[in-house]
Amino acid sequence: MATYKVTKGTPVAFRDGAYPTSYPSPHEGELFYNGSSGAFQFLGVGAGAWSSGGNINTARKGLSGFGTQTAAIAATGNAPSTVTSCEQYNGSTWTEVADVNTGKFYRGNCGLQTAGLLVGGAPAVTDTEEWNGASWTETANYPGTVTFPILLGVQTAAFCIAGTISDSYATETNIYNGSAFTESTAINTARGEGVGAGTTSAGVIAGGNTNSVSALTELWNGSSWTEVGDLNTARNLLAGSGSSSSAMIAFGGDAPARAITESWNGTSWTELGDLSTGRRELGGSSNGTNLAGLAFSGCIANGTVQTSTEEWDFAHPLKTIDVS
Amino acid sequence: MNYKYSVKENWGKTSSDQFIRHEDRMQFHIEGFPGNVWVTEDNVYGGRWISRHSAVVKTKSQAQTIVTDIVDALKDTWDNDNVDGETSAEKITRLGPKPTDITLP
Repeated sequence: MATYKVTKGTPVAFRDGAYPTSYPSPHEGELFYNGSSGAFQFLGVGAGAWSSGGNINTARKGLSGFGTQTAAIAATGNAPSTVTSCEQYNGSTWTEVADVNTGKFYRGNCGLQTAGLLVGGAPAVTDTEEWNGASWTETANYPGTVTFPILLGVQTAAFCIAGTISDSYATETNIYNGSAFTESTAINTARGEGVGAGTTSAGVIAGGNTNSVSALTELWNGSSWTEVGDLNTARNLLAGSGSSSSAMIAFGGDAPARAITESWNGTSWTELGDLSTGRRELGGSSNGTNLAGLAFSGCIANGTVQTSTEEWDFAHPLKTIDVS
Repeated sequence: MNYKYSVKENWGKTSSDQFIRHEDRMQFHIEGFPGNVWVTEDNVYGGRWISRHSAVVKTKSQAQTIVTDIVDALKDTWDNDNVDGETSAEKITRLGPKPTDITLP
């Protein structure tokens, strides 16, 4: 007698173990039989989501955050008194390292856990500090006082963009080469408190404050800035993860404390999964990727500073099919 | 969407587990608020998360009271933290904006 399997069945792939869930997978959407577990499984469509990371030791807002998801730095900030402490993250735990020389908040920041850069800050200052993985060293001052500029790039080739200069939002930009700042091309819309990704030759900036909370996005091609697709949700005091002008995520921000995550593909922003705790003035893995990011500290809507960290991963969900 | 309300301190991440796992975020809505209040989607996965953490279940009213009490205390602290001669703009720069009310979903 014919069985249901014989008359209706469809062959499925056999695999001795589950497919890796890392994104992107050529097996997305595939139903297969896992010989190791003796179960039918399904590799779902890749999606991003935030999960818990290790809690930071000193909660703070307006902090400087840079690095990658598994090697990040959280420096200085406000809690609400200004803090000078600095912590490093190894993918699960935050550990205190050497304090910054100048405790400020709303500093521009970029770089890696072994080579980072801070510029300006609030209250207004011209200070620049370099991090070498063990200590902070003051270097060439910014050409004027600047608060909350957007920094792209790395310690020895950093793009310092806009910010608040002389109490007004600015359009000016400067490139830092590791020892001095050189003026570069102005952006189209004056702003501070935004986010960005890329290098001195190809970058993207978005959001911020332009005297009102902004969704404006601008793309840098090495010689000029062009306005491109706006963020879906205007916001300032947000953070980002990404090292490329065509791939980054932007998350969190005002007002008063957003959980929204948006992904940039070089042309447009797409909304993805929210942070579990909406927050503003947070730190991010500025030089990470759009597939593996980190959000840490900051404050929630009522101003309470947060110790929590969240890790962004883009992966394929693996579902076990229950046929009982 | 219907929600459940619970209280549990966010312990972050250890070498073997996470307070909120990636798979959790794929299965149910979860949102954190002051006072370690967590709002989770009222489905089987949200229920399992509450059980996994032995979170203390609250009614919406109880959870809202926890959040509101914290916000009110922070408002008072903000109102009473003044520096002679400081403008309101300078105060906001120093402390951030005055804490705002939070209404749970």
